[in-house]
Amino acid sequence: MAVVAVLVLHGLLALAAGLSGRRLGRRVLLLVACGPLAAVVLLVAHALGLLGSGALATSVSWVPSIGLQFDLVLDGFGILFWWLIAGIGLLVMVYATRYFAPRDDLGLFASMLVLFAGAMLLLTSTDNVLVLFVAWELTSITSYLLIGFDDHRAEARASALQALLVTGAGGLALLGGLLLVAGSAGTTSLTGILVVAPTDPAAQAGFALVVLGAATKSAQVPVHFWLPGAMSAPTPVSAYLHSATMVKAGIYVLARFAPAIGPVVGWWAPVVVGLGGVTMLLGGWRALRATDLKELLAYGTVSQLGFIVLLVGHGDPELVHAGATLLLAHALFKATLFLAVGVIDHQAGTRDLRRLTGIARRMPTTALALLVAAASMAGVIPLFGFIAKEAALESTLHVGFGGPAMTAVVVVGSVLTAAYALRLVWGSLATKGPDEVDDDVVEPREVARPAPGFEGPAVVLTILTVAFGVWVAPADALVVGATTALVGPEAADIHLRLWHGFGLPLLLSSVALVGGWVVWRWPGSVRRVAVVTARVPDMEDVYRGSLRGLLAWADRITAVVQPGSLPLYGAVVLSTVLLLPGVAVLRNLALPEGLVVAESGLQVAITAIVVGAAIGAARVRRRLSAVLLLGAVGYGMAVLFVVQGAPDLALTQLLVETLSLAMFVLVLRRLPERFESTPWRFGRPLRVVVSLGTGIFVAVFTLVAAAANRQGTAAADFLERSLPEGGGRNVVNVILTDFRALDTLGEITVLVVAAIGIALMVRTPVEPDERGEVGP
Amino acid sequence: MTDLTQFLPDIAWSSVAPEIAMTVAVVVLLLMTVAGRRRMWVATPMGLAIAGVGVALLVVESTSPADPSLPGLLAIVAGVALVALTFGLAGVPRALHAWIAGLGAGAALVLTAWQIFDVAWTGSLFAASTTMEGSVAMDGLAIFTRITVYLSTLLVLPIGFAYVRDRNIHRPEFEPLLLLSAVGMALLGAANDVITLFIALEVLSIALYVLTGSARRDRRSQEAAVKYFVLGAVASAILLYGFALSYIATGSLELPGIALGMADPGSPLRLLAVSMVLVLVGVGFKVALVPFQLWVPDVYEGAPTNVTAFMGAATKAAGFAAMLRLFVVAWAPLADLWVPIVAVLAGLSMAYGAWAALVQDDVKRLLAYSAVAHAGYATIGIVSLSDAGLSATMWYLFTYAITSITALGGIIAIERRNHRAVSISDLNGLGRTSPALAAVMSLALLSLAGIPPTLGFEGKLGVFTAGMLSGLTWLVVLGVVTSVVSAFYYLRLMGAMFLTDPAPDAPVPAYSHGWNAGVTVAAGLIVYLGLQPSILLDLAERAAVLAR
Repeated sequence: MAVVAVLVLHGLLALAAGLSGRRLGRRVLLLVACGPLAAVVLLVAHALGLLGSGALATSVSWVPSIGLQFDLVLDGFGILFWWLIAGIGLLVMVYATRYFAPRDDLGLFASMLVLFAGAMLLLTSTDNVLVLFVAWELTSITSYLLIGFDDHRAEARASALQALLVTGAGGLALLGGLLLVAGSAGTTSLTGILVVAPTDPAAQAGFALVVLGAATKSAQVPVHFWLPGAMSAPTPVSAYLHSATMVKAGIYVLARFAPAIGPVVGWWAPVVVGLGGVTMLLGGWRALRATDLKELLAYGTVSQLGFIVLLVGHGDPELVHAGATLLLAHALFKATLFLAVGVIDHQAGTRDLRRLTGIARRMPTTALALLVAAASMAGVIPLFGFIAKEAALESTLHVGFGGPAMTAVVVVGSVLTAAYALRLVWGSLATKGPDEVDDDVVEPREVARPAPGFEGPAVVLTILTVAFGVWVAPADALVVGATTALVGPEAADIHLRLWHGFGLPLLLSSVALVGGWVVWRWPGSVRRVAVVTARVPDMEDVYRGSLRGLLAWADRITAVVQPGSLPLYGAVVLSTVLLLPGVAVLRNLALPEGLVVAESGLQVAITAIVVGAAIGAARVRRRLSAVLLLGAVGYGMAVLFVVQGAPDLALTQLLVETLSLAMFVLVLRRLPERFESTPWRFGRPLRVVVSLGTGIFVAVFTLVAAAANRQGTAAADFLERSLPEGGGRNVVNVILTDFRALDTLGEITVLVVAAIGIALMVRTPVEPDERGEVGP
Repeated sequence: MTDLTQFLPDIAWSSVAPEIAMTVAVVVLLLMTVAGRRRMWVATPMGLAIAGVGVALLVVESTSPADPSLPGLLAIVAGVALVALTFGLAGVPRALHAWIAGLGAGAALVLTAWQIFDVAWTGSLFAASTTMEGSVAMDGLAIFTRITVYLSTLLVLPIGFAYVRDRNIHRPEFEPLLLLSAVGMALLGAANDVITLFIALEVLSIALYVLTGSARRDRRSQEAAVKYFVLGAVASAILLYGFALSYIATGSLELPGIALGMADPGSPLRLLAVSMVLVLVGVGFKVALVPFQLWVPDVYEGAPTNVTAFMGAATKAAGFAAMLRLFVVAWAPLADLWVPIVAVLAGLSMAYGAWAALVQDDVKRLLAYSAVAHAGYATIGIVSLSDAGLSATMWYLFTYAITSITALGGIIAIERRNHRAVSISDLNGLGRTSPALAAVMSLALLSLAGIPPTLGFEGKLGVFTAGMLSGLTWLVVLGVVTSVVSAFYYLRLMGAMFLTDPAPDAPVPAYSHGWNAGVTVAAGLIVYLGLQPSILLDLAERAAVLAR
């Protein structure tokens, strides 16, 4: 229940922050920090064994009937994530109190931030895939609002929308995938799905969609482009959402699926590992070209996320172990880097590395934190990043098939990582010569020293980076717990070590560092390759282009399909009637045998008059003539009824026709004499075809129906019951007033409604004015 | 002396009790309109009569199994309230009319609840039965449709009251037509034979045609009414022809009888297939499935917005109820034939609606195209051809009704001052100028997009799950994909509200007490049922019972 309490607390804090934001000012951020703080307390209690050993599991029903149930299971992997979410969340919220100037809408910001934290905690602790999706989308939406927090900047709004569209689309792909997989597995429980591990085509398509969804969230190539754009967010958001937690949601899902699915679905490991590898290289490559420090960090994050995906996507225990280590290491050093860059940006007013110089001397504490974190990222001994990289190289070397390729990618990626780490350190901290900076350089003297509280969070994380390097045990416990939760108890024997001895991994690590220095120092050779790669169309252009194309096409199609023309709409409805039954139905139609065309010459004559009048009605130009011809059709029908021996039917028909004619004439007094010759939107032949087709259709099926009428109808029954039950000899009367009395009542109601409508129209004869509107 | 009671027909009045309440309200309203200033002369005898019926229901020993004490009490309260309202609101006849209409709809809703718990509920399930010689069904579908229709009526009345008054289109006929249309919808959900079904359809349609054109001095409204009427009449004629063919082929007017005749090995299948298609055209027009959706944008845009809200919410629920009954009960033996056709139409509707909505600038047109897409989603439950699908469709229509009324309610507030069509740019900066309205609108849009934890999400989840269970994977995946596209344009509206600066001459939304009350309830339902859907969702699940 403690898990539920923590989650509910986040929701309540979000509400409280939203309501009291204005009153509390910047302290609202400290208020919401209580949420992550509570989670940290829970984690510490669990680590100390106060909550019992093993996973924390609770079950809360939401909508049991459609499989929505909060099965909360906080296992080792979840605990690793919870530490990242709660620990870094706490630090970021403290940091944000110094980062922001007092402003009105901080309450909303704090509310979104803590809501995000809660959603992320829920995402990593639920066992139900639908709840997982709910939490997933919640993180997308809060991320959208947080990126667009500086809503007066058009660029922030655009990138917020882009991030939302990409991750939101990915989220729906994930939902589709999870539904397919859950459908195949017959359960919505995540563990249940992994136990079943379905491999039928639907499930395979589902897995593909899951990978797609995870790739968008974790910024994998080619859908990575939203992450650099998301750097318009305030730095605390970048540090928290876009490096430490939210972007790792995709990795969370992949890591959960990989150990169970990788071995049974053939394409899984190559695709996911390949995705990670390409992302690692491309991200590192793009980071080398960035001049904005946050953009540099964003591409660095893309690269590192690719690295983690490469490790956890395979599903092999040792690789998963290395991936979990890197997950932790990356969160520590990347959050530090963001927080430090945020301090520099805040104090210097820019984060363009061409305008910064001499920062190290102005803020030595922040500079040290940034330096250590960058060293950890590059993999310098004895920092935690080094341990992670060693573990990664060690594990990829052990992989049989594809191992050498993976190792090569990791080494090249590490070369790039080391290079952009150097670029970052140099760009943000170094004192540069005049030819290395732009004209509008920020003089170091103008840069104010940051407040100690502002630098504190980065320092805390730096200490952890160093401490975990030297004293591996606590990190090891966390990582082993995560790995065993993912791949089972056989992973319990894999442990982290700082010193693996002199071996191939150490050699490769050193190669990476040296290579990185070379790439950074002599960028000329690199630049030539850059010219080539710049020609490759960017996925962002594709995104923009397809968005535009989609809109343009939709515009064109609706203009053609829905011009608002009534004749066209009518034709579409009638054509559907003609086409939908299809030619197949019309084949071998059984017309009634012994079909009598006419019984007397009189019938033929009347029918000829009716047909002639109908054709005439369609052709004449004067309204009155058309109405009279229509009336002729109706009277002709009445005469046919008389000839057939149905005088009462004929009488009804005559009355209806006379009434209609009278009403028509009344209305026609107010209309122009002739039909307006409006240009039709579609041709006369087409209209003739549709009309004739409809007429033939109705006639043919009336005949066919007559042929098929072999079953008893309701008539016999009514005739039989008329006298005994209805007490009347006129069966029509009995039907109207007794058997179907309710329908008669309904018919009267129809008339009442029509009468009200007519009354409404006849009264208050007001001409519409030019604007089609009458004043206020 | 002969015993006269032997001639009295045995009619289960309880099965149409809500419609009786509504019809009484209509009669009272019409009589009051005629009476003019002497309305007290109408209200007093009518009130006494209604209360008298109530007393009779309480006192006279009932022979029916249903306990009439609640309707009795309700009638007494309503009778007294009628007199009191007429007395209290003597100076404001428009408000009086709206209140009486609300009283009728409220009574209908209470009676529907009474039907559920006192009449239809046996143990944990609905019992399906028919009455009036089998022409009116008393089952889960009928009752759940009533809930949606009457709740929509009750919400639309107060939300639109100030709007129609401001636009000068508030005529005394307005409320009676609205109520009659609702009665038609409720009966459409209950109709168990084709004649009753057709008459219910006519009642609701003709009332809606008139309501659509009720903004007499607005050309768009007139144009919309004419288009709706002409196309609607064509569709009705096609439907009627389809019924005629099916009657000839099976010899039955009742839906279960049609199914029986169809199951007969010698039945003319080709003819039945044609009649199925014709019926599909007729009901497809009402629920606006592609390719019968053409009227929707023009009519949604042209009709007074409160009529649009009512039409979008309640007509869909009723139309789909009829479609469910026709296809799942009557045309069930031909399922192999119609399921693929209807599934394709559902897919087309989702795709076309979502796509076309992308480029709309007029908010009402945008919502109209999105309504087409939503019709596609609701159809997934029908082609699932299972109890789960049946309840998913009913539930989806309920969620959609509440959500779309909220969204259009927001537009009503803006349009009241604006007096012209509301375009997306009119929403610019609404988050800053009117945060409460923007919040309500956003809630409705999120729900339309199906983003959790709103009501719309629960609805979509239901139909998608039902579709998956029935193996309609492709349709569900298409539904998910179109949801992505639809999220884009709903969020585009939200973006306009929150992420752009307000225009200097932006219209200031106008509120009224009625609007506040209606929209608050609707928005509250979106949130509350989004978090806690079990109450009604369970009902929908147990209501998956059809009279067969």
